[in-house]
Amino acid sequence: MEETLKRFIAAKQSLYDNLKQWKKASGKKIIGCHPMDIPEEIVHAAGMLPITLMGFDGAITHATRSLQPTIACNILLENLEMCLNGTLDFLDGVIFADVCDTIPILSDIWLRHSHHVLHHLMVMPKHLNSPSSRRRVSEQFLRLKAAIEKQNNKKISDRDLKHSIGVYNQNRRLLKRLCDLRRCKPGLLSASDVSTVVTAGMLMRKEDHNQLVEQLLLELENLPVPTSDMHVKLIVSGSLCGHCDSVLSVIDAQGAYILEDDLYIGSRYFTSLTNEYIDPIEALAQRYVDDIPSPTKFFDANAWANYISNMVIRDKADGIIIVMRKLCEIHADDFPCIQNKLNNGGIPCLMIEIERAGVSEQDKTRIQAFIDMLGVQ
Amino acid sequence: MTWYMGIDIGSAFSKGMIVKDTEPVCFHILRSGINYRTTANLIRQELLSRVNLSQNDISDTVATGSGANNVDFAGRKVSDIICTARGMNSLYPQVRTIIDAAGQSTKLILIDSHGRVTSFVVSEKCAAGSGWFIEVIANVLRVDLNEFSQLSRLSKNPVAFSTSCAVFGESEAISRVAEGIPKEDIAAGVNKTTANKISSLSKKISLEEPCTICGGGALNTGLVQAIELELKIKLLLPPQPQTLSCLGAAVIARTSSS
Repeated sequence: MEETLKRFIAAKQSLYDNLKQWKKASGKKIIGCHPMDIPEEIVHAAGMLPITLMGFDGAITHATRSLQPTIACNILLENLEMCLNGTLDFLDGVIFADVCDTIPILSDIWLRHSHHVLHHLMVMPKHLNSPSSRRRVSEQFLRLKAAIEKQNNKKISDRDLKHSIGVYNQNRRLLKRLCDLRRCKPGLLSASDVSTVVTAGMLMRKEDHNQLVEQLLLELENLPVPTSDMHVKLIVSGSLCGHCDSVLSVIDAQGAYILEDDLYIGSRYFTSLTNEYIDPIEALAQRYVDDIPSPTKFFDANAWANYISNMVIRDKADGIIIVMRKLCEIHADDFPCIQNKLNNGGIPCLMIEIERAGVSEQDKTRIQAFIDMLGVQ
Repeated sequence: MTWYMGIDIGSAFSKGMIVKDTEPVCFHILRSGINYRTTANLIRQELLSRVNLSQNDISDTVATGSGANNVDFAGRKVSDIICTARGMNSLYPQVRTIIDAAGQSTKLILIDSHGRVTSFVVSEKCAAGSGWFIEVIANVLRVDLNEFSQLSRLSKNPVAFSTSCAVFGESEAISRVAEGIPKEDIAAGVNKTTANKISSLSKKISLEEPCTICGGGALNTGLVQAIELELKIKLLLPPQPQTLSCLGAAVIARTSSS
């Protein structure tokens, strides 16, 4: 198991070096998908490799000249930095969806400064509780498909799309099995391990990732439940558009385990499957609309709050940690509803704000105290 | 007779305590310095020598604080919020709210009659409202913390600081000194600003009396007064307020063992 995990770690840590080598060897194109809500299957069906742009740890020296750090979260700044400093020059294109007000600004700045042949911004409907919403989503996905076809000078067939949907669904099923194992065999896999596996999948061919995850599952499913003193059961929610590894490390170190999550680099990425039996664009639009609640999509004000609360109740978790990225206004807008719902339900909740520097000492103390409050006492 | 040890490695000061059965026996406080492992061992050595025991005589040790991972001889680590709650409850079981005015941050902790934490808030990343802000200004005024506290109580006209940020506050304090503002007014102004910050924090939690204060900030009687004025409450002042966390750690060591 350790050897297999190392391969995921290597993929995650190499970030783009492995991808550059792969591109050179295969001659294929790589498209950067800015979080969130990009229908990667369309890119995959075109024979290109979609990867997720998830920021980086280095110094930010260029991005703040173009994008005010007071309005942009660290993911936007870090991705823009990589665009401006040439790290992402190897990409053949980049796709955005306007999940927040700052993304279109980022997209405009990106367009001025990059030389990617494909540059596409999807303008998605926000209110999804009307009949026209699904149609609008399909229209946006068709626009994306047309843009890719034009750039490649090649049509994407429904057959190719359905095949890609199948590959991605298989990935989602495998990752779901991994999370089920995490719940049923506490101590077998840390929260950081699961995050690493999911992250690695965003930086490699899905087919290769499927093989690796299958191998890992085979190894894990044969292992007995480890004896552990992990007794605090948590739900972790939030961290839109990027990872929250610093928070997960603290949770792991404190001996709590995660029953379920809706993290972007977590269950949010793979919970919903795409219907493989209907028109593929319609199916992708259906998945977009019917996916787990997100602050990027509006059904009713309490949809996400109810979803989170139900996770805690259904899984009989001891409490929930909500990870909010600093300056993520869409998450901040929903948080009061979530907090009220959890407070009214008597559900212990801790909100941690994350940014570039990871988790501060105060926040480590808060997470540790929260877990101890649920367990040690 | 069973002996237990609690060690609290804080950002500014480290504290250790030995309890015998249920009674605190001795404590020791050192500046944390930059080598927490060494500090933890020095505290342990001092405590053991005072009671003429060896580490083997200690049934269990619990470590807490930001440097808890450096206490190699601890059986387990528990967060300082839980330890503070347990320590305070062992002294004053009637207390329901604890204000922990520590070096790096301020915490407000709500506890039940068993000393279990029911809710807590911690100040955010910056040093505003923490002991560090007070240390910085004490340095500007060229006084130690004891003098700072006494000085602030002499003030008739506390300075109104425009910021609670330690960095900008330092600049502001220097400007006030340059203007000839009396030291006591600057010291009182800092205490008032810190109390304001604690008051803001208290809005996030339903403060329930009786309230108490602990941590190094509790030694600053000017700050204690300023908080009482701001929150309109009377604060219970425990003896040796910096040691509540290590006392709680020792209590948890005892409770877990039994």
